[in-house]
Formats: sequence, structure tokens, C-alpha cells
Amino acid sequence: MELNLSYLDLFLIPPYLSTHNIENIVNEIKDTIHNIKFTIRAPSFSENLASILSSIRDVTIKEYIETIEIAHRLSLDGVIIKPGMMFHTEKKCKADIMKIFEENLRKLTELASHYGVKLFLENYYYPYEILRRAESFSYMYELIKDYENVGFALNIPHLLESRSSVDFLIRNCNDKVLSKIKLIYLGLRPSPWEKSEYIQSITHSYYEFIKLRKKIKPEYIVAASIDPTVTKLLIDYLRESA
Amino acid sequence: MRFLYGLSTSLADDYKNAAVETIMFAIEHNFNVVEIFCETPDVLPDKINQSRILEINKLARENNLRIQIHAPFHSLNLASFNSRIRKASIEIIKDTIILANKLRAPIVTFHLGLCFLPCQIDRESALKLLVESLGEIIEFAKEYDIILAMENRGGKLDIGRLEDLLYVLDEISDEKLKVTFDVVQANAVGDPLEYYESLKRSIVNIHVSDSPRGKSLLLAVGEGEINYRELVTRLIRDKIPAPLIFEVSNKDKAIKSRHVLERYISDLISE
Repeated sequence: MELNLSYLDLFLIPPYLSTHNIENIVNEIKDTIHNIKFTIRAPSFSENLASILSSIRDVTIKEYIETIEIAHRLSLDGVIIKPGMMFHTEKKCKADIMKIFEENLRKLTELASHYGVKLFLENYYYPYEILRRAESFSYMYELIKDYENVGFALNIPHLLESRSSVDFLIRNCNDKVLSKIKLIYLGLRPSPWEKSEYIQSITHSYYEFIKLRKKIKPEYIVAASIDPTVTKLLIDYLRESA
Repeated sequence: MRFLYGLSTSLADDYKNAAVETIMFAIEHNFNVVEIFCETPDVLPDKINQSRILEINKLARENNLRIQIHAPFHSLNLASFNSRIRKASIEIIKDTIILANKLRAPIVTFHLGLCFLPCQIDRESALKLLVESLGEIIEFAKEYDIILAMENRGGKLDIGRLEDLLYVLDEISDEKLKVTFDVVQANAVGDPLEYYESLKRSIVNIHVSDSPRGKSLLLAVGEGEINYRELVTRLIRDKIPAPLIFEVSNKDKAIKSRHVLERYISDLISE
């Protein structure tokens, strides 16, 4: 309210923010800030749609489906998910694992389409992540291109941490791939979802965003940090640049 | 004192047949132990078929080979704040214990978990959840007479630093809870000899590879900077009855590592 925001991105981190309390919290915010829009991030730490372990895949699918259903029920705009990770075993069995991954992703994209919920796939920075550098955006684009409601949530700190950049992304992804970037996360390196004291990275993250904004028009821009001072600073930057 | 030398199935070329491939190699090259990493498709704890179990048991029995187990660990988190992930992780470890029992493996090595955002803010609560998870797993392991060996880890997000292991050992004093000492993981974040001295009373299994200081590469013993000569001296001095399992990047490095360690031992004897 104090920051005069028109949109909030919620991160489901059980037990703090979970399927049990999300409805009350969203309603409470809606009562306070009228016409506010929301997106919601599914739980995204150990979750892995590409795990060789079926029980990990099952938990992941269940959590992602629940998040899509919550978004539908509470009229939230979209859901952000972490696609998955390919560790050593998954890489050794890549052909089989990718079939499972693509099938799982298809289930989710179809469910989101059915409910009219937007689904955004977020890039992460660890070497084993499926969606990480520019080339993986092009690969993933082929899986989602037929779904109008499915796109990318580009996490700029993650992109930088994976030794990539917006320039590299623009050079290596065609306009169709870039146009699927619908949401952008700004924050500190290495990740807005980790405790970080790398305050200097805030400007790097911001200038990369400015470069990208010349090329695409994202629907959602999120200043993301566990530190409220960093979040406020990012919002100030964004407002000045607007 | 004679060391038992072993191989991890993570060395296999064909992951769809990792256990049998590694066992055959171990037999051919006179290794004593095979540590089966239960994250390859042939030995997933909830998927492995009976014929595979019989085949492994037969090969082990006929060739006097000891089998031990390494539980799956990627995406598992016994310290997760998310109860679904924690429960799934506990169930996977329980399935691994059942498999260890079927394969007559006395030890199951496992990782404690990972420290993501909620844990980074409130590590104390994460460790309490971890102890709770371990309590359940240890009771289960007792039913099958399996020793659980928690492994020290040095990754950025890992729970498994020396202080974590000492905390757990202090909180849970149970004869079924021991330690797998991973030398190169200790080297990634500290001095392996310091780790050894702090943990030696609980060590029942050792993962061996070499690396430059501060890193966790999977080099053969002698190719990095870890002081294995001193470590072997202390293992003999303290009569630590733990097999040395080579977790190196290929099979040749396992053979090379054993050769170098035997030379250190031979030097010690001749001194």
C-alpha cells in the first residue's frame, strides 16, 4: 500500500505461505488494495519435474497442479514454476528423462490453458537446471510455442549468475522466443530466492533489464528480494526509468 | 590392519546396468566392496525388480564381495520446511533401507539435506526438522538392522558441514547412526584431517578421491593436494574399520588410487 503497487507476486513457501492460508492472505490484501493483480510462484526448491525419482516427480506435479488450481479459484493472473533439474543420472539417461519431463510439462500447460491461467517457466542458474542459458530458452520454446497462455519468467539475476547476459540472450534467441518472456524478475545475484549481500549487483540487474525492455514488452515486472530495502530501491529505479 | 577397497557404481559407463557392470569390474580387479548408488535406473529403491536383486546377491556371495548402499540424494531434503518434500525424502530413505536389507548390505549412506531460503533465514528450525526426520528413519533402520551413515557435504546449499554432523551426533546418540567420511567434500570447505579427527569415533565408511585444496574434483589419489599419506597413517593408528570407497571420475582412477594408497601403507610398514 505504502509503495502504491498494482501487482504482487506471491511465493508459496510452506508452511509460511501454503495452500492452507493463501486464500485468506489474498483476500486480506484484496480488501486493502483494490484492483491489485497477483501472480503466484509454486514451491520451487527441491521440486523437479525431471527427477529420476518418481516420488519427487509426483510431489512436484501435485504442488504445481494445486498452484494452478489456486490461481484459477482466486482469480490470480498466473503461476510461475521451476521446470526441472538434470543431475548426473538424469543426464546419463537423457532420452528417457526428457520424454517424462515433456509429458509432465504438457499436462501442466494443458491444465493451465483449461483454466485460463497463465503459466510461466522460470530460469535458474545452477549448471544442472533445464532452463538456464539462452539455448535452453530456444529448446523450451519448442515445447510451449502452441500455448498462448504459457511463457517465460526471466530471472535476470539467475541469467547473470549462469554467466550469460541479456545481450547473449538477444543474440541467441529469435524474436518469437523473446516474445514469450512475459514476466521479469529483478533482484540481487546470485538469486532473489537466496540470502544475498551482493548489493552492488542491483545496478547490473537493472541495466540488463533496461536493455531487454528495448526489445520486448513484459506484462509483469517483479522487484524480488528478501530484503525490503532492496525491493524498495528496485521499485524506485523502475519508476524513474518509466 | 588390512583395508577394504571398494567402488561406487557411479563409476559405471552404462547407468541402466550400473550395479552389475561395477560388480563385474570389482570382481575382475579384486576389489572387496561395491557401494550401490541407488539413483541409477537399474536399482531405484521402489522400482528394482526381484531378478536384479537375486543377480546382485548371487554375484556378491560367489565372489565374497561386500555390498553397501548409497541412498538417492538429489532433490531429497530431510530438513525441508515443506512437509511434502520431507515426507517424500523419508519414504525414499526407508525404501532404500528395505533394499539394503534385501541385498544384505549393512550400511546405507545418505545426505542430510539442503538449506534453501527458509533454512537460510532460520537454520535452527531446519536442523530441528532434520533431527525429527532422522528419529523416524533410525527407528525404521533398527527393524532391518541397518547402520545409517550420514555423509559430510561441502556444497553451497548442503547441510552436511562438520558443525551440522556434530550437532546431529550430539542430538541423536544412537549406535545405528554413524558417518560416511567424504574426504574430498571435507577438502572443499576445510581441512580433511580436522574433519577426520572430529568425526573418527563415528566413521564407518570413507569416500575417497583427490582434489586441489578448496575443491571437490574426483581425481585419483595423488593427483590432488589432499594429504592421503597422513590420513592413512591416522586410519591405521586409530584402527578405523571403514572401507575405502573410490568415488572417482573413472575406473582407471580407482585402480590408480588403490595402488597409491597401498604404496603409502607399504612405506609405513617399512618405516
